[in-house]
Amino acid sequence: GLVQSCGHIIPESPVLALGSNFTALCILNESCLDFGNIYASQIIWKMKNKVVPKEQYREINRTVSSVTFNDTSSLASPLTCNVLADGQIEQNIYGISVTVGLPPEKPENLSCIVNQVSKLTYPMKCTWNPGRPTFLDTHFRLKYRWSRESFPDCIPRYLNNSCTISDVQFFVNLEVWVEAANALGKAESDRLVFDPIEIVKPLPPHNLSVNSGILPTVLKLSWENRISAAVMKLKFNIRYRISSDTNWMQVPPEDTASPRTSFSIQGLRPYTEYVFSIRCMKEDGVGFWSDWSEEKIGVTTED
Amino acid sequence: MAAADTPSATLRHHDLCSRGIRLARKMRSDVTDLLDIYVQRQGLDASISVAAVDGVPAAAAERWAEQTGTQRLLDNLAAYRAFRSLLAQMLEEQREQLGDADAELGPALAAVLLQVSAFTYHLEELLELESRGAPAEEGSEPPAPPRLSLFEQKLRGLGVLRELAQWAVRSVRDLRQLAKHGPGSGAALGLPESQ
Amino acid sequence: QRHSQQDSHIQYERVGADVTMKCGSMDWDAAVTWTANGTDIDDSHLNGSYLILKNVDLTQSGQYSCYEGSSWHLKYQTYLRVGVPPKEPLLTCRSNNYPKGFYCVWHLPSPTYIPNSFNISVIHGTREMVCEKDIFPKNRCHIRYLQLFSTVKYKVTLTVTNALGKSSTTLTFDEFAIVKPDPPEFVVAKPVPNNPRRLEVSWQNPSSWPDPESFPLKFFLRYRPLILDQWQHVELSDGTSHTITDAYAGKEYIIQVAAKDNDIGTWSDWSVAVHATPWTEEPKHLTTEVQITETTSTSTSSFMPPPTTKICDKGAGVGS
Repeated sequence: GLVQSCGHIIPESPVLALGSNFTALCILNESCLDFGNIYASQIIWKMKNKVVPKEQYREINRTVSSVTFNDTSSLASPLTCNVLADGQIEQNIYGISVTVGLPPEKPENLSCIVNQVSKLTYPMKCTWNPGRPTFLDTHFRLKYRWSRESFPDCIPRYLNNSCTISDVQFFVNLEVWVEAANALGKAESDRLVFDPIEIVKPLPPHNLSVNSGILPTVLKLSWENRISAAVMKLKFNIRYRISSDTNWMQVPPEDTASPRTSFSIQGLRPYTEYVFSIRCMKEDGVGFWSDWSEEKIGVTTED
Repeated sequence: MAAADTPSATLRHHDLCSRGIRLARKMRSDVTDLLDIYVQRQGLDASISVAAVDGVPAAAAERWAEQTGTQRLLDNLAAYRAFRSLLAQMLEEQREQLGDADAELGPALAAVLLQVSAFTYHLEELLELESRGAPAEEGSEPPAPPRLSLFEQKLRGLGVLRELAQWAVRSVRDLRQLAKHGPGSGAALGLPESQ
Repeated sequence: QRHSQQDSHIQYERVGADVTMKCGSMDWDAAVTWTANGTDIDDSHLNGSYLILKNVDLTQSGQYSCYEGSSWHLKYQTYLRVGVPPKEPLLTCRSNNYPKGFYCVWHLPSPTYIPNSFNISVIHGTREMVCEKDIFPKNRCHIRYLQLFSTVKYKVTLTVTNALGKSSTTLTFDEFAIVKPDPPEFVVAKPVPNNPRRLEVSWQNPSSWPDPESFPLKFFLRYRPLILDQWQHVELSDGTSHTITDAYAGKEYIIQVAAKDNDIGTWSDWSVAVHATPWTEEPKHLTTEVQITETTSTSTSSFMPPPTTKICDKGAGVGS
């Protein structure tokens, strides 16, 4: 049998675009010609051990045979080059693995949100639509920079459609975009330019307390805000319901549209247990509402 | 109309000033927090007084009210470029001293360094709007600090942070003066009545 | 007939001291007469011609005269001032007109009953600064900031001296730490027509604050219905007006405002308190006569404010 390698295929381990055409060449070593009495005309191309129709072969010369596929969608691995040695024994000359896929599409719908996690920490999570599957190993990188300084890329760990930057700075315009790359190409999303202060979702107020006053129809809700005034001023939504009821009522938003740490809710039913909850966002309405706070119970006094 | 006075330049100038003020205010708030952490982590006495430290730009200004807008920007830019290097040195020293075990001082220092960088860019852009352009960075690097003992290093760091906190207040005032007058106003931006 | 030809002088003595007065150049055994404020002193206080005053108290301040026994010539006269040495003076420095300067004001914790002199020195780094004394009040002086944004502390030393002793106080502070504006002025609160839960509050920057545009103030508003003790607070970082949106319908409110530099220093005292009551629906049964809801109005200014908020005396200081 043949001991040393009698030829090779080029290209070696190609990555091919789905739907494109592809030609491979099997090149026999001169030494094998003399020794093994093998010629390119005797080459049999196989795909995953299935013979490729002869119409797709072409003998380039004594030592080179080519095979062509008009549509790589039908390609499978391995693609092997074989010959019938000594009349009837099929011998494998060489084989390559073929990867078929698609270049990455332009990532779309890039959007970011700064989720406050503590008084001083503001990670920013960006998400995007990665586009169609590429069937290839495709790497996404979230890139961001100031006009005069770039930062290390944010590399998603498990997903390919989001990445979180650990802490962003406010009041400086940030340019953000996504880059997708695989063996078949690279694509870049549109670039967003924004000040992270405009996409903050603050933590909801906490340490709520409800005080019943002298009037049986009034309860005073107090709370602590968890975002520093140096970062932003807040406005609020306050909702409340009778404990036994499921329908929430809301304080008119225009009444809680400025910074505060308490509000007296009026027009309540005497001697009744109410549930309160509050949320906040940037005073000028730019950004996102926080989640609703923990609920707090208060009871109006008797009439 | 000089480049500096176009409507878009004026809008850009106002935007840079107002966001610069908010950045300086946030920076001051963070530096004040950082000072508390620094004093505690370094085992210093908060009331200790630190003499003027070489290479640390002093925020103190005489006849501040009479400065022109460009002077203000140039003074600020020189200071924050120096602080950028000083904070980078401090961060390096801190990592040598405390290593990764410290999860508070290092990140807080890094966050302030980032804000100082950001503020520097604001100033550079404002200077460009003044049709002047920011002076080149070379040569504004502060001299490498002399080999200091650990305690001297800590004191120097305290001096840097205290001066930075004062600079942040001054910058708020400077930018407010600039915001009152559009770009390209080299005129003195004094108080209604001279000092 | 008593003849006075000796020039009198002032003699200061501490409370509780024992005082011995000689009758000028007269011998110990000379016959003399001592008077206090013109009244003869009985001999029990004499030791020869010396006047002995034991454990003097404040009431013994006065003019003491010694006359020669036979000729009634005035041989000695002094004005005795009984007092105490000064205690450590209380010194306060404050800037209510930043960035122009700051003033220092001082007083003694307790009287000394004798004249004192005050000397103040202001050191900033290596520089001695001039403290321009006010004509009135006398215990106050002003220093102009020659430098702003300095991290070098100011050191103010006040020394008080009188004939019986000396005491001093030293303050060390940062430029920005003593910035405390005066309270806001012209606080006015008005109901908002057709809004039973709203009150519109407006005020002005304290007139002593020189440049609110370059050195803006932020404000702290506190309000409560008279029927409650607990205040509600809201901090406002720009503008000099605010609409209270959760006022108890029909209840009279007391409102005060305080001010602070936006970046440095401490809060002012609370402003004068004003009163106001939210707008209330007209009772339907009334036919023609329009009932004027008696609400009171405030002002500390000369102009006549709308009759909606009540002036309250200035006593309502911060925290009361």
